[in-house]
Amino acid sequence: MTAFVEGLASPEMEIAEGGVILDNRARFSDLKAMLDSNKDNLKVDAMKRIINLIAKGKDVSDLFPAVVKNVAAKNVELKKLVFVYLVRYAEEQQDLALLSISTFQRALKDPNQLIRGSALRVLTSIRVPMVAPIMLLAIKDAVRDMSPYVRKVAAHAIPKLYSLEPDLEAQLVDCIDFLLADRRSLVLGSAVYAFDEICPDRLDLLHKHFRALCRGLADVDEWGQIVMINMLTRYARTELANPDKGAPDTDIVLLLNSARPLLQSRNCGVVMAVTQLFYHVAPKAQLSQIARALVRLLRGPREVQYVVLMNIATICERNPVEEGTFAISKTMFDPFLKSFFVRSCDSSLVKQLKLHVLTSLVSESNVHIILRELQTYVQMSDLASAAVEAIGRCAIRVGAVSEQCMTGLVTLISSSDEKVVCSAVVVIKRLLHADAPVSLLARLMRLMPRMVAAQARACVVWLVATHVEQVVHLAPDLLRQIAKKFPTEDEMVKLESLKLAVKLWMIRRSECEKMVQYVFQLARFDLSYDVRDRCRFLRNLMFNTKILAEHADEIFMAKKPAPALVSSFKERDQFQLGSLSHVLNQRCTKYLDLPEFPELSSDPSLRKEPTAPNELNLEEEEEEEDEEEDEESGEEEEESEDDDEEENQEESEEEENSDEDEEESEEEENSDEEEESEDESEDSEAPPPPPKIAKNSKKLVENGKSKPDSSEANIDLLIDVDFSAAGSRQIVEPEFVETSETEILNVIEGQGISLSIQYPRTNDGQYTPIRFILINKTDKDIENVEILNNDSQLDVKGNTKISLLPAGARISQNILIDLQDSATSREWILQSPSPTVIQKSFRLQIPYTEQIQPVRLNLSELEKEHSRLGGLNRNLVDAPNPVNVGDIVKCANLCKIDENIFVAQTRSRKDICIIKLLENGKIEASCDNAVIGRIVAFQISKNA
Amino acid sequence: MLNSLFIVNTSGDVILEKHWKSVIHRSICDYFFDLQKKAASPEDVPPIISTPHHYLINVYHNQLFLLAVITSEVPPLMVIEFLHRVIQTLTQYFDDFSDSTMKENCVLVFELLDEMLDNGFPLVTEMNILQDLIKPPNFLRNIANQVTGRTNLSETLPTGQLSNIPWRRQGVKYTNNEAYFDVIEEIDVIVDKQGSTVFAEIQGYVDVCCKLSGMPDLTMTLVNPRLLDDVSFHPCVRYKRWENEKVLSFVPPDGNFRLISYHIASQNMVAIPIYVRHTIQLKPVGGKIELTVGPKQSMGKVLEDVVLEINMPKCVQNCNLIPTSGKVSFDPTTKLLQWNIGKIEVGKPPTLKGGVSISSGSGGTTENPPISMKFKINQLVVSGLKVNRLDMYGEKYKPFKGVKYITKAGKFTIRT
Repeated sequence: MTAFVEGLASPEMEIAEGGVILDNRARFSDLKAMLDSNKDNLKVDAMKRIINLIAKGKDVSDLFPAVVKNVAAKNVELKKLVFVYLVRYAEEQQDLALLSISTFQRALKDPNQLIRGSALRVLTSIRVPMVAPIMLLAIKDAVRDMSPYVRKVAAHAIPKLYSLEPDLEAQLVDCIDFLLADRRSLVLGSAVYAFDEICPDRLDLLHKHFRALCRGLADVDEWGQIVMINMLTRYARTELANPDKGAPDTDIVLLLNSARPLLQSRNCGVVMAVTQLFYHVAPKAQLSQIARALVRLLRGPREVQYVVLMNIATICERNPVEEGTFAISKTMFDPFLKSFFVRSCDSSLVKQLKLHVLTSLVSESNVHIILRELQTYVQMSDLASAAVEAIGRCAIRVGAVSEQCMTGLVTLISSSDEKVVCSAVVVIKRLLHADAPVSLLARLMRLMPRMVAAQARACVVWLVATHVEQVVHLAPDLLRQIAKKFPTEDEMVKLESLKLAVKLWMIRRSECEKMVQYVFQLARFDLSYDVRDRCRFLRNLMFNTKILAEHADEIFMAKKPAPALVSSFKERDQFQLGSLSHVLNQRCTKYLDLPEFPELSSDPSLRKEPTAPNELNLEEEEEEEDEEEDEESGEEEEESEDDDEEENQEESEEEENSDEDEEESEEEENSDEEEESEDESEDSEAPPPPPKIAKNSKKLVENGKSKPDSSEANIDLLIDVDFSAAGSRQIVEPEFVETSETEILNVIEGQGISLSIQYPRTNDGQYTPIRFILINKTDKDIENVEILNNDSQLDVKGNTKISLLPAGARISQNILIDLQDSATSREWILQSPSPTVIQKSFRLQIPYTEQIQPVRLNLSELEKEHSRLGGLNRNLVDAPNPVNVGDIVKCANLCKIDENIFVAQTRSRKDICIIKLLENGKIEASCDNAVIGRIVAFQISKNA
Repeated sequence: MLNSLFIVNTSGDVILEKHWKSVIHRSICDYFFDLQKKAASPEDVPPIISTPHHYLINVYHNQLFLLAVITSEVPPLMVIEFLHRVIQTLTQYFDDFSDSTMKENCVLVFELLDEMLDNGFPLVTEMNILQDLIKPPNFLRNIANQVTGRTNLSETLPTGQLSNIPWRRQGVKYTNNEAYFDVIEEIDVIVDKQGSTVFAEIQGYVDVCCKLSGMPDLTMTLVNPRLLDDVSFHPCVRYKRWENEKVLSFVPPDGNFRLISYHIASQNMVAIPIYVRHTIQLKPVGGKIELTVGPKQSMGKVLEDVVLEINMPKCVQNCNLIPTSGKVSFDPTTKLLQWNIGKIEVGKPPTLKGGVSISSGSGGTTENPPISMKFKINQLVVSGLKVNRLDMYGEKYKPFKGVKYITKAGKFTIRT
């Protein structure tokens, strides 16, 4: 068996690599056979070979049908390999890919969060436009999933769907908006990534999350941090005022303070992100903090060095330009000057950049150190010309040493190294083009006899010719020297000396006529025809044509503008630091310009976080604060806890729970008159938000409710605001609570205890409240009565143990159960050890009518939800008798919106359920969970 | 972020390709190969290349390039850092990141890359979680897999991704609980011709090999934490406690990781433990080299693994050198002169003497090449950093703890 597998595994591949074209059909047929076999390890082996081919860039799309069959395999490895294949080829084989979708849909409902997560991940990676609606539904579900991991995967899925179907933008933005409010740092980074990919310009969505994002920054994963800081930079530049003009906004201070510790990150991307944040947003005085971190990055690999140096060069380049900020750039990198010294092991690009930075850092205080260093570089063959150029830049930057630099350059001109001479010449020409001191020209001329390199000699002649008016008395002597050895000079020098001759002819004709003619005569019979041509041309121009000779002055003596020295890094300043566009110095796809600071910060109340006044629930409030603090510090958080999965889950539940509580407490306030007035007064304290932005949709809706007169107006104002589904729902108190009890166990069954059940219908997160009522009908006290559930998976909160049930007493016990929206009947046990052993199991099924909770929706929202829940989600149920409207809220926990419309949501998954009484006597149920809708409607038809 | 990734070797073969979004044909690499051909050495290839429709970001390591294809604006350092993280991960998985290991483990690399990125955005980069998802291959497991038909993919679902300590695996168990800390310092020095120090700084790391069961919470205190003014931390270190108390407090990842790296700048005086006296004359006639290496301020510790390297200019044809100790080799093609000295005994500074033959065509004297040094000193860090104590909370057992100090030469250049 093993031998067979091994035999198949290797030799063929080698042949294929050797370049021999194999018959594809024959080769794939054995792979197909392996995939069709019923042995898992054969299949895995085949898949491995297929993936190997994919990795090598070979086309194996022919195998699609054979592979996709295995998508539901039990073997984890096989499954994973099939997923990898599927994601790669689904785009090309769209119809066949559809076959696999149902597998993922099933997995999306799996109780295990990791399976749900990976199913969503693969499903959304399949690039088949036909599946887009299914993906959208899956994402919408997943962003409200209990598990933060699934929510994270959902955030990742959003950009995938968007690239597949950009039309869905509006709905996806809703999802992002929802995710941005997530408290788990695991989710937050990915949510920001999705935001950045889809709607980077919708900064208005960030207002209410801004502060939470700042505080959460430290706990987000490294990659999320990078995206987040970049996004917050853009936000700050759009919404907050320039901190250099007047006192900095508190929000800017918050942002900078939360980002500052990240300068210590091990991830150079994060450090760069913080750097650019400080560069673009922080007050100038704080800039110096980033220098140390940037210099530390220079220890990294060559690629990192390259990008970082590029950015440092830009920072250095900008600052000298702006008056007043000059000093900052000095103090910023001055202490680290030596870090920019070139090492022999640096790559050549890094060397060049280091030289550039060195020269832009040059100042009177450090010029001597830098010049000495540059002199060493001149002797290094690969750096020599760049170093010479750098010396030239030093000369321009620091006037005091320009003389010294020029002297150095002039000596370099007579060096034996061709490269050095070349660049020295170029630099000297550039430096002296506009203006040359006579003394320097004189020195050059004195050096002339000793100069060997042709370029150097030509350069001197060119310089003298250019500035001939300043050295009128010396120039003829130079021409004389050249004329003496004219035939031995290089072609380059001859051409330049012809130019000099012409110029002398123009200004000192009387003295030099003879010599000029002599030079021309020599040039006329020169060996090089370039020289002969030039000579003929000039002769004709000057001596033979009258008309042209008249204009000779304009032709030869025209002033040429000196070449301006502009660094390429100055241009780069238009791009955001640390961006790809900046490195390439070109506008990349999807690059967003960083706007200038606005004159004034936008209203800080926009950024107020939507925290509910929680007077009624002080405990909860405290707990929450604790939690928040934990998150903030992040350090203490993990202290001495054992963070197994269980705890995590618990935590997430708790969090969600407290969210719910918040909402609840708000309602409670609303129902309470006193509280309401307080609520209003608070609202009047804060300036009313501008109408175009939904600062806190919940609150606004409440306002509408508390002041019915103005509700119309409010709704009008909110017309173009898109509520995310969860935001606008408002959980209300039940309209009716049943007081009668349903008996589950009578005295005989319960061995002396009568057990009955009641549904208090209170709102408590995803939990369904249940009240057990126990009556001791015996004449003895019963101790340690306990109601136990057999299912360990079931999440039950509350005490189900009664230490003493006195004789004849009646005790009621409230518990909360997260039923996960399922009406499965479960087994419970009533037990007590003494005085007589009681052990009675019973089955309990909690009807759907109690698993829902009433919610209120405004009319437009209701309309939207109703139209959304069409098709399979809608059920019609015939009512045998006319329905008594008043009884509906009794038999199901619904909220009455209208005479014949009732709304609720399921407690666990928050699926909306709309019950409508139609005129023909039928009951229409629209619900995300069609089964629940149908059963609720059925119950109503029977009981009301 | 990333659209595609190609692993390419220096001779221009694509070893592996992986696409996270739509497939981009491998001909995109041609833009890169063009520039690679122009560059004198692989290090000189520009790391970021712009092509008409895509942007290429490459990272070079051990004769291999990782070439990422990007279609839109993205922070380049994010990509570069990620690519280096990929290299790190692969190195840890296969003990080596090279042409042959990549070809051998093609499928595994492919699967790893699939886990690390989702739609081109980093998803799982923590080594501990990845190891949970895909077990690293080792010799024993390979044999066991062959026999039992099991695979490297873990059967159980990894839970690490869910924890709020994403860097640590759940349920770690060891029979011997031990934690080793290596304090390593590298000295970067440039010494000029006259023997005076132009530039010297220390780059330090604390590398940890942690084999502790459960969820240990470690606290490390240093004797002189003020030395560290420029530190970067592994995400596990609690930043606030460092800020306030200068104590390193952390729940470590399982296995090997770098706890902190620090940088001590040139302002502080750095004691350089070695000196080189040199006379190098590269002349067509009578070219000679004379080198003496000796310890300096080494605080009584022995210099080990001393290697001296000179990259000779092209005109050098051969070297005829005799050392008093160690071995000398000269490669006429790469022009690398290597003097492997080994241990330097106190009081007997080794010397290297001899002639150099130079091709006469080059004419004149050429520049002197810089000397680079490598060495190691055990049981000493130049900065004087010292671990005071190490405490563990959260677990009951008593771990074995060890601290080792090493000083190494970093980029140690002597100009001649």
